[in-house]
Amino acid sequence: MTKYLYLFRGGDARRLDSSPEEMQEHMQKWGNWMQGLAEKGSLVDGLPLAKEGKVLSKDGNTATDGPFAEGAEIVGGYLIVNAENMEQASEIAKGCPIFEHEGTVEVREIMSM
Amino acid sequence: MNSKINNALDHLFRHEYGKIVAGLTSGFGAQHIEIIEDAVQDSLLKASQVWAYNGLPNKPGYWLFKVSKNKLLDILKREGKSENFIDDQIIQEAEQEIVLSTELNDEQLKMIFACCHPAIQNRDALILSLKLISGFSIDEISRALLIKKETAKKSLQRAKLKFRKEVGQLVVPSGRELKNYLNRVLKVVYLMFNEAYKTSTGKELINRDLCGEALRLALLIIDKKECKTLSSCSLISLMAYKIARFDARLVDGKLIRLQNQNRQLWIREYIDWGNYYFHQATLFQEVDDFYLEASIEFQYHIAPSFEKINWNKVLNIHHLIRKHYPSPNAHLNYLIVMAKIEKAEVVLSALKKIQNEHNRNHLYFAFKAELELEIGKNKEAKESLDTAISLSSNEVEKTYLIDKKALIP
Repeated sequence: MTKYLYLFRGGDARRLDSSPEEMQEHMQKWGNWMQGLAEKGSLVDGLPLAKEGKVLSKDGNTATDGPFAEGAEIVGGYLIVNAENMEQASEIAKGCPIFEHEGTVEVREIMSM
Repeated sequence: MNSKINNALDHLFRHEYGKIVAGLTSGFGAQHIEIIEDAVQDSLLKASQVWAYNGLPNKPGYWLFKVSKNKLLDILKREGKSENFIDDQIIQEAEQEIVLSTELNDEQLKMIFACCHPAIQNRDALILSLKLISGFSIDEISRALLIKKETAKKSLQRAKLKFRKEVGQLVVPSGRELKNYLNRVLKVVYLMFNEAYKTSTGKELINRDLCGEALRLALLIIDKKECKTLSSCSLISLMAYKIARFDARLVDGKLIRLQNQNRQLWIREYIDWGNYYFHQATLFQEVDDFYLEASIEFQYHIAPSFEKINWNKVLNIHHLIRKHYPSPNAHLNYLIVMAKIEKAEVVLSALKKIQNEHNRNHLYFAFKAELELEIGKNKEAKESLDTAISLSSNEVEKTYLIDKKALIP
């Protein structure tokens, strides 16, 4: 088993336009999806990220406020999952509800010793 | 880690939206309604992200209220308007209450009265209430009421403008003012229920949510002692009776008329509410339009079967409605009930006399077809059904009428 990192980007604009009922439904879909991963033993860890943040550069002496790039590029959250290989990790990611809101999932292998 | 979410309370977000908007408007004033809505929307978005990972917190309502309030204070600070609010007593009280009960009933009640301010016309007040108190989006409102999105939007804009300008601080009026105001509020609730009930046979379940919401608001209103009146008790009774029949009224997407409904599918709990509030209404020993309508519902529900409904009584009630609250529909409904006890020929000739009031009403022609069929005028009945089909805008109704026509030899 190898660990993979999912980086979630985008989808927020669509969510902000949603009605409270739609937001709840969407949240429940995420919850169900992650619960499904947990039950299969695929889920290792994951957290949502706040919109605000800083980017440090030039020896850490220059700090700029977020958002860091175009809206769609902001990482809104991450998950770490167990999978056999990149193919399976991508297959699992296909079930992510973020696609309903035109967001993206970047799948990266986590290097191990 | 997420099992809690999967049992999430029905419509939690929608209800919390209304409660928190009411709590914050009560504390910060109606002139800030736009940024209040933005702050609550923002906190719901945040919640939907965090809770998807972590599950619901112990007191979701309190969490949302806190986050919304802080967001609102941030916005006010940025706009240089926050000094007056930081220690405001009303906000603290609202926060206290949400800690204790998470219900904010008083604030919601004030909000209902504010949305039905006399400066706002009934239909606009209905849409404003659905948006601010019930947490429906423009899109959902237009689907539920079968109106164009643009129409709903314009209506909401008009209402909000008045709301910001005229309402100021939220209060529940008292004394004579309360009485006048209350009747307005009940009319808006009734409009909400009726508009949704009319379309509740459509494919969208949202209409049923809306009927339930009208009942919830009426129950919030009656919770205040001074608001327990003949009208409010009657209104709750008649809405509860109608909601009780929802499951029996629509089976596999087909409309089932009262005479063919499976009474086992009537929801007992709502019938009990209907009975209870009808009884409460009779204690006032007076009559008004809501009471008369509730009386008809009571007659339907007190009879052990459709055949045993006391049609003479029902007809008498329709006669009173026709007399004291005349309208084209009151005349038509009277004749529909008359047909249960009178010969079809007699009813048909009375019906023809009111046709010019109903040229665009599909119910009129559907009823006319029934009478014509009864006296063997099949050709005329088919023509009437064709007219009814062309006038009906509801798919379920249409199917019902088309099926009916197909059965005529």
